[in-house]
Parts: sequence; structure tokens; C-alpha cells
Amino acid sequence: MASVVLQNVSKKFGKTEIIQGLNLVVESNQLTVFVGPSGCGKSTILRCIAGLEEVSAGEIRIDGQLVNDVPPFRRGIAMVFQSYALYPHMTVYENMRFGLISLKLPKAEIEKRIAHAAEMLALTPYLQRKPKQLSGGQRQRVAMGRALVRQPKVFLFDEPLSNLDAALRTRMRVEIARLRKSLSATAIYVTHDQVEAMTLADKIVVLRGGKVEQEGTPLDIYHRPANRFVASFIGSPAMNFVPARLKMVGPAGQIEFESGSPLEVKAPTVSGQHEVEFGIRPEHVSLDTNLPGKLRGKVFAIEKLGDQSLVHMHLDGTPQKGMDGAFVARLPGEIEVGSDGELELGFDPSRVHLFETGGAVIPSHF
Amino acid sequence: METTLPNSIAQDIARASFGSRLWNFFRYSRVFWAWLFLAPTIVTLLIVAGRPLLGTFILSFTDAQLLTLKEASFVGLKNYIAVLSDPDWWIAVRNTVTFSTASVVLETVLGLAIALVLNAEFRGRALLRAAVLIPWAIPTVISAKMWTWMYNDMYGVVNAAFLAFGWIDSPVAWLSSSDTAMAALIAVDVWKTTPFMALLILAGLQLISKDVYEAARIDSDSKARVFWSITLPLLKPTIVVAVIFRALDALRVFDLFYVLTGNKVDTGTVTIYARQRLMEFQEFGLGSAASVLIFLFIGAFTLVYLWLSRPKGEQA
Repeated sequence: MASVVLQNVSKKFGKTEIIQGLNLVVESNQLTVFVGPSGCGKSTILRCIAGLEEVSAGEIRIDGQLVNDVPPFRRGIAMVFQSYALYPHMTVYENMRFGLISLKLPKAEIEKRIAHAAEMLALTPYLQRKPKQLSGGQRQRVAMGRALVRQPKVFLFDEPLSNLDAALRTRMRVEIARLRKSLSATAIYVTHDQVEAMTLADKIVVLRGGKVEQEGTPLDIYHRPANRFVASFIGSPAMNFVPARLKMVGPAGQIEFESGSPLEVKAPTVSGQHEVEFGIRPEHVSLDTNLPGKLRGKVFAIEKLGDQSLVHMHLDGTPQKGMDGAFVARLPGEIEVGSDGELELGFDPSRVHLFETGGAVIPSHF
Repeated sequence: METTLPNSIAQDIARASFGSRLWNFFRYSRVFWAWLFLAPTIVTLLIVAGRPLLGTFILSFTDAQLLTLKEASFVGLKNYIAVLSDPDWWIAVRNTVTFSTASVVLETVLGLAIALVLNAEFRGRALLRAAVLIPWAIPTVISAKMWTWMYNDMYGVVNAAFLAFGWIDSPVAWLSSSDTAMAALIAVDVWKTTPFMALLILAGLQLISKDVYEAARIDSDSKARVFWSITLPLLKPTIVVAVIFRALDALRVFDLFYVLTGNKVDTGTVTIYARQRLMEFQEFGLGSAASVLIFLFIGAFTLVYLWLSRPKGEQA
């Protein structure tokens, strides 16, 4: 199968530069997810790879072949659109057949591929229906089927599940994961949904402002975010950030923050005192106050989800108003707090992330 | 579960007088208000369209003349038989059908082509879209007069241009000769009405989702195949409506012929025929019968056309 390589790719719309000098390798036989907030350029990159947009500068290679001037049809790609983009006047069968006729395949082969795809996607009973006679989930599957039958070198998915409701989205996510296993194809998947990114990806590329913030395996990105942006973007609820000071005390470093006792860290040697941001994920704090790390604060809201509770609090020494600077803890079970709302949390220092004020991570060894 | 009204409301309802209940019925009845607001339109239409239509219908069964309108007597289908056995009527029918078919087909094809161009993105598109409409915006009588001069055999620009290009050897009286008059009239109608067609089709084109074209670009690299398999089928509902609008106009065409060729029989249409019987020969009965026939003819055409172009597989 094929790899996709982007070298120094830029894309401008008028004077606005959406993508600036992007370098990226999408490995063959992997599912690579482009994730990022809206406007980060992830869909634009996908459309450039598809050939629906021309790049302003740089080179795109699919399977080693330079495709800058190759029309979409000849790039060996298939794309699944967010809106599905089915041909509304054609039946499911005709929708899948349209691209195959262009490929000049023998009739028997066309029939075989469509039958196979329909079987795989449970679309066989609907082959003679028009798109408007199908539910959202079924249309989505037709869009997938239309891509599958082409047997492309690279699958491109542009937020394919965004138009589905939550339950269906979960089901289709598993469906895609299942298909992926049986196909072993190269795929690029664009989403703003980090759950899709985490569950489907072999590799995640986190994008912001047309630039790669970090790339790596899902767990790599979750556990070792390269900067504050990635740390805040991946994970839900988002990571908590608390202003703190890092300074050297003897051979070790020490983090001081307003709400709890100072925390010893084996930080890289620093001289003097540094303003830093202390980051910890909501799921990495607990009610166990015997842990080395401690935080205290006043609870202002508890969201009880049954199996877990999201506890929203203001840490001592931080502004006590609104959601800005609020700290979220994800704790198992149903949590109650005393009438004063005071709560003490413990955490394992190995779960802590430290960031410079500029956002870059400070590698630290607790 | 049973819902019960709070006592106070139930008592209010029980106590309400017949008058106030009636008032409340009118006040809250959407149907009543709908009819009230529609009433002025309905009344106006009955006066200006319904009454004359009925009058024409009644007159068509009488021997009414303009001067003896009051003394007309019932003659049954005599007028209809007279019209249908008049060779001039059948010439008019043939002319109307020829004109309508040729002009609507040409306008549809050209309109589609222009719409496809106007749908592309280029600099000055908005200006061009507005400019294209100019021929359609000019009142027909004025553009017909303009074309009369352009077709003039002595001073007309058409002859000057054709002579300059060497397409003809000597000036042609385009409108006088029945060989060329029909083609000349069709050309004027195409010039005038293609913009309308283009605009309607352009609106239909813009309803087609951009995504569908993008999917098609990935599925095929033949622009012709995308046009025939995607664009045209998706445009079909628009074209059906556009053609019916145009065909109804073309079948009723009057002003263009009246200004350009007058009352000449060999280039007359059915509306010219009816007007001539009514106004010039003052045979109100005969003219009315011709008018009713035109009405039935166009109505029948519309029904057949709609039936032929109904979406396939649609449930009744």
C-alpha cells in the first residue's frame, strides 16, 4: 500500500495562508488522524491531498509519485465527505457503480465489488433505494461503500461521523475500526473529535494554525504532550493548569503553588526561580490524601454521571469566580462534600506536566 | 395519565356566554383568518379573470357580433365547427406549434449553456449575470419594434451585416417572405427569452451541492460524463419547470407577431387569429370559440407535459 508525503506544503486563499510549509509523512497501512480545533487547516490539507484544492507551494507524493498536477480521479484516492455527498438521483447501487465505470472495470468485477461492499456494510437490502430513502447512518455507510469499492491506495475521511447523533457515531466508530482491521489500507482521517482520534488512530497529528503541534501514537500524545496546546486539546475534560513557581532547592527542584504544600521534583537544573504552569489531568487526582501531591480548594459544582463525578472547584489562592481558572477532578462514584465545600485532593507526582509560560513542556523526572 | 384542567379555567369555560365563545372561535381559528386575508385576492381575481373567462365561454356558443351583443342567440357548437374547419385556423395552429417548439428548444439549450458559464467562478460574474438579463427586461413591443428596424430590407443592420460577411448576395425582406419570417421571429424570441431561461437554470445549478461535484471529480475525470450523469439529471426538475413557463408563454405569443408581421395569415398564430376574428371582423362568437380552443389546447398541453415529465418511481 501507499504512503503519503507532504513536503513544504503551503496553501493560501487570497492573502490568507492556511497552511505554512507543512512537512508530514503518512505511513502506509496506517490510519493517521488529523485532529485540531476548527480552522486549524486539517480539512484543507486533506482536500489538497485529494486534489480538490491546489497547493500554493510544496510537493505532495502519493506512493512515491508526485501528484501536484494529477487530477483527483487519477490520484488513487477515495474520499468520504462529512455531508456524504451521495449522488441524490442515483440508487445506492448506482452510487457505488459510478466510480467503477470510470475505472473501466469489467462488469463482473464491478458486480462483485459492489456485492462485497454491500455485504460488509449491511447495505444489501438497500441497493435499489435512493439516498433520501435512507437514514443518516445508512447514508454514511453508502458513502463508505462508495469509497471501499474503488479499492484506492489511500482512503480520505473528512469528518465522516460529524453529522450523526451521538449513539450512531459511537457505533460507526467501532464499525470503521472493524473495517480498518480487515482492509489494512492507508487512511487519513480528519476530525475535531478527540475520542475518534484516540480510538481509531495508529498515529495522531495534532494541528493548529496550519502547523503540526505534535505527532505520535494516541497514548504517546495523551501521556507526553509536547506543549500546553496539545495537553489541553487531547483529553476530556481538559487538563487542569495551575500557575506555579519552579525553583531549585539543593539538588532537586521544587514546585510551589498557592493551594498546597510544595512538591519536590527532579527537574532539569534551573537557576533562580521560574514561573511555570503545572498541569494535571482531571482523572489523575484522587481523594487519597496520602499521595505525595496535595491540592486544596472549594467545590462550586458537582456533575454526577453515575459511575463517576466531575467535581468543579476553585483551588485555594486562585481567583474564586466563574469557570476561568476552575479546577476539574474526575472522581469515581458519587461524591459528596461537606457544607463548607472544602475538598482536599491527592495526586501522584509522576502524572504532573510542567509547561513554560511559552507553552513548551519542561521535561521533568519526579 | 388523566389530565384535568385547573378548576378556575374549567369554570371560566363553563360560564362563557355563547357570544364570547363564538368570538373566541373566530379569534383563534387559523382557517377563518386565512380565508379573510385571501378574500381580497379571490374577489379581485373573480372580477378581473373569472367574469371575462365566463363571458368568453358563454359568447363562444352564440352568434354575437360587436354591434349586436345584446341580441345574440344560442347557436350551440356552430362556432367551434366553423373555426375547426377553417384552413386559416390550422395554419395558425401549425405556426404556433412550430414557433413554440423551435424557440423553447433553442432557448433551453442556449440557456443551459449560458447558465453553466455563469455558474463558473470568474471576475465580473455578478456584472455579467445582470447584463445577460437586459434583453429580457426590455418590453416585448419595444424590442419587437427594434428588430423590425434591424430586419428592414433597405436600412436594416441584419442585411448590412450578412452582406458584409458575404452570406447573402442581395438584401432580403426577412419579415415579408413567409420562408424567412418564421425563422426571423424565432430568432427574436430566442434573443429575448434565453436570459430568462438561463437565469432559471442557473438557480437550479446553484441548488446542486458542491460536495456532489467534488465526489464526482474523485469518481471520474470525464467532464462530459459528470455533465450527463450528474448535472443534467439533477437539473431536470428545474428544466421541467422552466420549459413549462416558456412553453406557456410561447403558445400564447401575440405581441411579437403582431408588431413584426401584423395580421398576415401565413405567419399568424392562434392568438392573432382569435384577435382578428374578435376585433377586426367583430365576430365575437367565432373569436370567443377560438379563444376557448386556445385555452383548452394549452391546458391539454400542460397536463400531458407534466404527466410525461413526472419523476419516475414517485408514488401517486
